[in-house]
Amino acid sequence: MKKFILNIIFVLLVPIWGFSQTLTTPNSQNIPVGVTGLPISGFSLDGYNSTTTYKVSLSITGSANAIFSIGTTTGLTRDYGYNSWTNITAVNFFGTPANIQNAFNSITFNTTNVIDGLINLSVSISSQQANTYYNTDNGHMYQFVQGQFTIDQARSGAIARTFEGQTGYLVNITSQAEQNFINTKVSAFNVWIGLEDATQEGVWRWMDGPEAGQITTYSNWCGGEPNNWGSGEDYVVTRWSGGTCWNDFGPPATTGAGSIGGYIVEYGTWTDPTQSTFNSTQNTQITFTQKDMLWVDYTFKFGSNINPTTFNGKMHYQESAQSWATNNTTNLSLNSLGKVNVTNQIQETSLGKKATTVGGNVEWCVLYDYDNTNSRHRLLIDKREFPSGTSPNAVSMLQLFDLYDGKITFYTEDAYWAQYYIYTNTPITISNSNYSSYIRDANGYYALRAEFSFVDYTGYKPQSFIFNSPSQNTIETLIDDVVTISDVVLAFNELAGGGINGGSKGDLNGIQLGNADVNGDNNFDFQDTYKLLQHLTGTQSLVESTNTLVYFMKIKTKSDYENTTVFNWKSKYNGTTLMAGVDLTNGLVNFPQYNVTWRGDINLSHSPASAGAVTQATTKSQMITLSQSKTDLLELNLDVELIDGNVVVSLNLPQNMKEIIGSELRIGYDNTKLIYDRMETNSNLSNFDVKRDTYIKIGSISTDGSKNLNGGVEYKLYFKSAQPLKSILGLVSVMKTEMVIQNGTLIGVSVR
Amino acid sequence: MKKYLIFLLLILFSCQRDELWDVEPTPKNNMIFETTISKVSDGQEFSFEVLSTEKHQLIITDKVGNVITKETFIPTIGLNTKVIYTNILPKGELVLILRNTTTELSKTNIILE
Repeated sequence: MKKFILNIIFVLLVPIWGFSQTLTTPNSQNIPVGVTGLPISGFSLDGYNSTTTYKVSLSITGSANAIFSIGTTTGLTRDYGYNSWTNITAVNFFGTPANIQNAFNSITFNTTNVIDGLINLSVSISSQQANTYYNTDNGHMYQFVQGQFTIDQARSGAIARTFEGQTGYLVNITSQAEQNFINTKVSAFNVWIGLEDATQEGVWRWMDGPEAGQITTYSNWCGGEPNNWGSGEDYVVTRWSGGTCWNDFGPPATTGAGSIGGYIVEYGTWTDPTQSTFNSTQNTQITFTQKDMLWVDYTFKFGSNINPTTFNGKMHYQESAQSWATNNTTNLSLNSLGKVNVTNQIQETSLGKKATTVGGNVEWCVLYDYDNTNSRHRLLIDKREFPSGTSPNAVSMLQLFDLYDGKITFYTEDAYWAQYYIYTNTPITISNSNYSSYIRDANGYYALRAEFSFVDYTGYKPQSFIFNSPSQNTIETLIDDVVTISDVVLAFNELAGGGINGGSKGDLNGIQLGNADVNGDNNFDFQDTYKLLQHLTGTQSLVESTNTLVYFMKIKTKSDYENTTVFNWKSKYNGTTLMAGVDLTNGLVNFPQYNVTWRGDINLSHSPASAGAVTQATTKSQMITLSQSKTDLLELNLDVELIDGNVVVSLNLPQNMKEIIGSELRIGYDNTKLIYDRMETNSNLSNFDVKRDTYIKIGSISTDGSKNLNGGVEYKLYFKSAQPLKSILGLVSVMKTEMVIQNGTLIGVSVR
Repeated sequence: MKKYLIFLLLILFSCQRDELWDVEPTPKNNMIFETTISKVSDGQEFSFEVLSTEKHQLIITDKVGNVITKETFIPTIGLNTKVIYTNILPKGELVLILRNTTTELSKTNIILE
C-alpha cells in the first residue's frame, strides 16, 4: 500500500513539475561545408525553475561526420565518461537553465567537406539524477547502481526504480552501440544486465523492459563464454573482470553477489528518441544539411548597457557609388549576443563575363610589368577574341593561365585592343608558371599565346547590413541614456588638462577621444565640450536629427576598434553610420565582426570595453553601489505634493563633502495628465532643465570645477495638471540620478 | 490506511494550490493595506484609514527600498481614498508604504502589469 501511495503522489507531482517547460531550438537548415567554428544559435529555455539543476544530452550523428564544441561552460558539470567540451560528437552535462542556455547558444560546428552530408543534432533536457546517463540513440536513460547484489536483488531493485514516470528494468543491451555507450559510462566490474537462460538452458532471453521474453539478437560474450560453469550459470554480467564483454554468471552455481560491482537500470520503452514519454524530458532533433553555400553571420558587440535585441536592419547592395538598395523587405533582428544571420538576404547578381584562358598558338594577350605606383598590371586582350555580342566592358573577371584568377577593371578599348587593369598588391609572378612555354618576355611586357572564352559570371555586389532606426522618442532617450553629465565632465576634465590637442592630458583613450569629437572635425577641443554642454542643457541637440540613428551610431570593425589608440584615432574613420559592410569576394563564408559605439559616449558606458579606457564614471560608481551600504550613499530627498492644483516635485540634496561638480536627474511624468511648467533651484552652478516627451532632465554643472554642491541643492519642478486631480501618486517618478566629481567619478545616490 | 491516503492527498492538493495558481488576491473594498500583495492598474482607487490630520505620505519603492515616487498629502481622519497612476512606473513588483511624519504605518506589495 505504501508503494501505491507513493506512486499516486509521484504521478500527481510529476506533471506539475513539468508544467509549461519549453525548449526552443533552431530550425533544421542548410549550413556551409568546411567551416570551423560555425555558430548555431536560436536556443531558449522557458518555464524551467531557475535554481533547479537539469541534465542535458547533446549528440550529433549523420553522414557529414561533423563535430561540435561548446564555448561557454560556466556553471556546468560533465557526466562521467564525457571528457571534453570541444571537438566532440556527444556530451552529457548538468547545470541551471541560465547556464545551459548560455552553453546552447555557444555551440559551434566544425563542418566537413561532404556536400549534402547530414548532421543530426539531438538535444535532450531532463531532471538531473546522480549516475544517470541519457542515450540519444534510443532516448533511454541509464542509471548505474553500485553494490554487491544478487541477481534477484538487482532485478527487483531495478523494477522498483522510476525515472520521470517510467519504470526501470535491468538493462537490455541490444546493440554494439548500446554496449559502447555503457562501457564509457560505467567503470565498475561485473555488472548485472537483464539477460537469462533460466527459462530454457542455452536460450538467452531478456527478462524485463520492452524486449521482455525476446531472445536476444545481439551478444557480446567473452572468449569461452557462456560456459554454464559448475551447476549452471543462468544470468549475465557485462564488464566482466573490467573488460567490455559478457559472462554467464550467478545462480544456480553461485549467488555471485560478492563479485558483483552493481547493476544498470534502463528507463524508456520507445524506439524513437523523439517520442520520449519521460514526463518532463524535452527531446528534439534538428537536422543540418551541409551545402556549398553562402553563409554570412554578423556579430555586433555592444556595451553591456545596450540590449542588442532592440535593433534590427536589412541587407543592402550597392547600386551605384552613391546609392544602396535593399535586398529584402524583411527586417532581421539581432539576438541577445548581437548576432544576425543574413544569408537569406544576400542575392547573387550578374556581374558580366568572366574570361578564361587556355594555351594557344597566337599571342592574343599582353601583360605589362607591375606598376608599383598604382599597384596594378595593365592587360590587353586582342578584340578578335571577343565573340559577337560580348562587349569588352562587360568582362569583370579573368582567369589567366595559372597566373591570376580574380577581378579586372575595364579601362578602354580601341580598334585592336581591349585594355584592363588588374589591381593587386601582389605582382603576378611569371617565372613559376606552368604555362611558361606560352609566354614571351618582351622586356617591359609579356606576350601570351592565350585562347580566350567568355562565360557569364554571377557574384555579389558590395553588400552592407544597414540598421533601421527606432522611433524618435527612442532615439532621444537613447542619447540621453548614453551621453550624461559624466561624459560631459570627463570631456571638460580632459580639455582642462590640456586635452589631446593642447598638451596631452591623456586620460582618454583613442575610442574615447573619437567619441568626444562630437562635432566630427577630427579634433577634440573646446568646440566639442561646448556642444556636449549644449546637449546636456538642452540648448541644442548633440545630433543633427533625432529622426534617425545615423547621426549617433558608430560602427567600427572589431579590429579597428581594438587597434584604435590616442595616436591613430584621427586616421581611422570616426564618423557615424548605420552601415556594416561584408566582403564577399573572397569566399562563401563570412563572419563580419563589428563593435558599436556612440557619439558622445566618452565614458564608454554603452560601448564595448576598450583597452586603456578611463571610465571611472562607470566603474567607480559600480564599486560604490556594490561596496557601500545604503547609509553610505548620498541621500536625495524626494517630495511630491499637490498644491493649488499643481504638482510640485522637490528634490533636495543635503549638505555634503563630496565635491560634486555635476548633477543630472531624470524625472518621469505622465504626460497625459501633467504639463511641465518650470524648474527652480538654489544651485549657483550652471543649471539646466530639458523637457522630453515623457521625462524632464534637470541638473547642474560647473564646467571648470570651480564650484560644487557641497552646500546642498534643491530642485523644484512645477507641473500643471491637464485635468482635475484628487490624487497624484505615480504621476511623477525619479528615473535616474547621476552625481559626478571632477575626474568623472560617479557618487552613489539613494532617493529617499 | 485509507485515512492515511486521504490525508496525504489532502496535503498534496493543498500544496499544489499555492504553487500552481498564480492568482493574486484582490483587496476587498480596495483596502489595499489589508493584503500582503495585490495587482494594481492605472487609475485604480484604493482606500485606507488614518488616525490624524498631520501630513502623510504614500511612497512607492522598488524591492530594495529605492524611492520611485511619492505623494504627500493632508488626510482626513478615518477612511481616505486615493488613486494610483501606473503609466510611467516600472512594471513588476513594487512596495507601497503609508507613513506619517515619524512612523511607517502600513506597507504592502503591489504588482504593476
